Amino acid sequence: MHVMKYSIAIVLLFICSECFCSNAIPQKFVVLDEKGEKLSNIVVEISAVSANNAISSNPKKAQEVAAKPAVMEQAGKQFLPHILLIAKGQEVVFPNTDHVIHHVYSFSPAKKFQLTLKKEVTSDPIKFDDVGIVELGCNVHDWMLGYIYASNADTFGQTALDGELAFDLLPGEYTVSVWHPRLAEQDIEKRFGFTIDATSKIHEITLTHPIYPSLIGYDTVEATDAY
Amino acid sequence: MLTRFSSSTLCMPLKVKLLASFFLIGVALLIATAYSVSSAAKQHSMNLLIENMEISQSVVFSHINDTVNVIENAANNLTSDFNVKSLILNVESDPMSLKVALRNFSDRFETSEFALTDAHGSVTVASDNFSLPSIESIDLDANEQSVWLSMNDTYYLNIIVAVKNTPRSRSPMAYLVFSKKLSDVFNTRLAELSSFEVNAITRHDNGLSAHSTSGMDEQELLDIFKQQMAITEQIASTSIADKVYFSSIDSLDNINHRVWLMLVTPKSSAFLSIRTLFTELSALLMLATVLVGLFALYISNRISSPILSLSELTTKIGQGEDIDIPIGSTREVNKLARAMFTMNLQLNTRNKEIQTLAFEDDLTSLPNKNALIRRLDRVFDDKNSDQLALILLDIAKFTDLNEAIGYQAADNLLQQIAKRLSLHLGNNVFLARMTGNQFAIIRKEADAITDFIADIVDCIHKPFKVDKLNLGLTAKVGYAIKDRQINDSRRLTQAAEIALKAAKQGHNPSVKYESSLYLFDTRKLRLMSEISDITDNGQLSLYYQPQLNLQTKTVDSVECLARWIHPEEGFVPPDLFIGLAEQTGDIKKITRWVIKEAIQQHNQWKQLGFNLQMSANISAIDLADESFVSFITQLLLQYKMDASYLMLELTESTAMEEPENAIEALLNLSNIGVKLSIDDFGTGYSSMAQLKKMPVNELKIDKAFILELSKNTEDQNMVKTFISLAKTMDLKTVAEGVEDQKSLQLLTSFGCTHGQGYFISRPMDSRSTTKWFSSAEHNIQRLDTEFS
Repeated sequence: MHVMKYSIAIVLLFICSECFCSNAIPQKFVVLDEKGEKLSNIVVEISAVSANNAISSNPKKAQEVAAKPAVMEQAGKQFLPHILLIAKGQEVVFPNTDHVIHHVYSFSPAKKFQLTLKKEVTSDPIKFDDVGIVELGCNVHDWMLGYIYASNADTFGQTALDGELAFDLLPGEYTVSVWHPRLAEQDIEKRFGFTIDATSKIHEITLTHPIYPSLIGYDTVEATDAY
Repeated sequence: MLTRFSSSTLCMPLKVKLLASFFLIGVALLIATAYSVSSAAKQHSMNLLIENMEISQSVVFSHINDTVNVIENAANNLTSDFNVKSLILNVESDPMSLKVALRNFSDRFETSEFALTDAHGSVTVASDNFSLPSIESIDLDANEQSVWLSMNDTYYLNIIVAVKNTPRSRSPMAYLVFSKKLSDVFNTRLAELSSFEVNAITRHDNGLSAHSTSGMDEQELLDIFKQQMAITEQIASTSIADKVYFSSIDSLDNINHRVWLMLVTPKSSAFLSIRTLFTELSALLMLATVLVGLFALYISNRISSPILSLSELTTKIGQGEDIDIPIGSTREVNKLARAMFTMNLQLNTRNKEIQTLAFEDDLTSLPNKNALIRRLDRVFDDKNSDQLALILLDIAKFTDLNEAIGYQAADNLLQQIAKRLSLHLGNNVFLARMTGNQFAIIRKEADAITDFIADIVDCIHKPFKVDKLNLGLTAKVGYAIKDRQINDSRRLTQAAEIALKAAKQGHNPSVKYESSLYLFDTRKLRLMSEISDITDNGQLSLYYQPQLNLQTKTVDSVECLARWIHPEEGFVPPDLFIGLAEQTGDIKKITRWVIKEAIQQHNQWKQLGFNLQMSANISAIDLADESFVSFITQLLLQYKMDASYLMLELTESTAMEEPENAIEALLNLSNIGVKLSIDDFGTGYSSMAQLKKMPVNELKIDKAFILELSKNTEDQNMVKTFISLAKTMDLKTVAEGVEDQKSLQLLTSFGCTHGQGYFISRPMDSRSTTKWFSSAEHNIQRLDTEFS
């Protein structure tokens, strides 16, 4: 049932984008924490309220993204990127560029799998058919933690280091949601409504809950270089 | 005795007081020490107990934490295992395998029950007795790894471990629960960790229950727990069946507050160390008490013994003994001892002065009367001296001498007497000057006392030279010898004084005390008090002794003699009562009574045909009485008596005492025609010149010359002289005391005019005399016959 719905929506979006692409207005989104600080690397998902005005040219529309396998690299005994944002149904390849073996696994309900990756080997692509968060771990390296976020939004992206995310959107009504492992559940579940008109705007999404502490300590485990 | 006893009980000796004070102070200090030490020790012990309990609590807590940590770490390791993790996170695919694996783990780590929950806490797989459906309600914070929960009325310590996808995952995907039974947590190993009884108290829906690691009674534990909960102190003290328990509790269950750790110890073992301390302290204090006692004894001895020796010293001083300064170790006592020594010296000096004043006669330097009495007392106290004589010596007529030579010369004379006596007597006897002219001698032997006295009298009699005068003195001596009656100094002195008085009154130079002398004197006092009444109450009567005219051989005169017959004392000698009457002044009354009686009797006899001359005695006092002459005149007139029939007798000594006055009085009597006689002639010192001037008609020769006249030629010569003297002066002579015929014949041959005495007749009362006269012819005849 879901697949059918999405298929129709994708078709509709495809048509619309053809029609209105020239009219897309550049918009900017920023995610602010409760203190008003801009946050980077936050997943922002945007969906049109009604199917016909959901148009985005930059970044690519989800279905465009999904056409090509995404890459979750094991490099420096870390997952790279930390958060891989993919479209639902997209394939992901896991290249191991380290000189050590990795045993990547996930017990997340969205996708359970395990891959034993010898050194400098790229796995076969794994398709992520379910929407949701897939938490990745490595059975060999406890500190390794990565996320694959499979989204079924019209378009999505992650805030840059300056905390901004640019979209070219047609005017219309949109809902926006955000995700990041450090965000509180309440903020994740929230849906923000936006009206896009002919003017470019900076849309602020303000979180109401404090973000979780950083896991940065894990990222700088000095001993990891020895592996 | 009673007062001494009571005073000794009321007044404690200084030594005892000091001893008691020191001992009390010492004991008080010891008690204070014991109290402070024991309370400090108790406090310390209590603090120690609290500290120990805190430590034990920590030990128990950390033991439980260790248990939890071990299980938790093991469980964490378990969940880190990829295969196990796969089993857990894929539980729905193979729950049996997971259950077996968890059972294996649970057994290995001694947990009874286990469970697996999903991320929300709902139990997915569990051991058979794990009865909780969910652990969602358990609000575990970051620091809590375990929680106490009750399942089927049994408490379990539940260790909850999160199962994460990756170790770094933010939220767990599942939870593992391992439940250890409370009895397995509070096991014997835990009991061994603490010196206290380790117990767990749990609250159930139906009440409390207790678990002991050492088998303590559950009910007792619950009682202790309730006591503990009722108070705020950290340590509770609970008495159960005579045993006291200390306890402390701490909650093991910070979430539900249903499980407590309770440490319990019996008081006896809690204060085990303090008991040993107290035993040692008691022994130490007892030793200290003994030492304090000994020290107190030593100190009190040191203080009191010099005081006691000083006290003995004062007793010695009191007894007049010589003392040495005791040298003590205390400066104050030494000072006191020196002061006492000085005091003793001063006392001795003063005593000597007082003794000199009190016991020495300052004129002669002889011992005085006080010294004599003291010496007598000592001699009497000395049981060894059985012979003792007190001799009193009186210089006769010293008053006259005093007047004659002056007081200074008299004093000089006394000094000479004292000197001569002490030289003469030597040191064998004790010589003292009693009063003015009286000396006393104590002689410790009674043998040859008369010779001894005669020797003294002679010694005094040898002339003394005073102001170019040579004076020979006569001494009168009275003495007494100690016997059964005279057995103390007072009686001896009294006896000697009585004897001296008798000597002074009599003719003998010395008189020994006889008990009769003494009785005499006591009688005297009685008689003196009654003497004024004798003329009225009929006790006085007149006796008559005939006087024989030696030439006519007839009785022509009688001497009237007053007789006092006392109703109890009987016959009172006239010498005695006349003397007493002279002293009391009653003599005038008696003389007048006698003369009146005599005149009345003369009148009676005259009517019967006997015209007798009546001789009556008068005294010096009568002579001095101015109305005496008129009294006699009046009587003579009243009874129409010829004055020449009344003969008044006056003793030689009376007549010669104050001759001038006597002559005048006698002249007055003589002028009215009354005859006068000198009585007791020969005993006094008659001055012939004076005698010549006196209007006397008669000399009565004293009986001392007559009684032994027949044997004693000396007496005969004296009597002859007296009679011839009388003849030259034309005086009658009456010889008294004629007791035999020879004396009567001699007197007759000497030319004596009258004789009087028992040989002629005894004195008789008026009736007998009348009768005697009625047959006088016969008597006279008899006398005649005897004469021839």
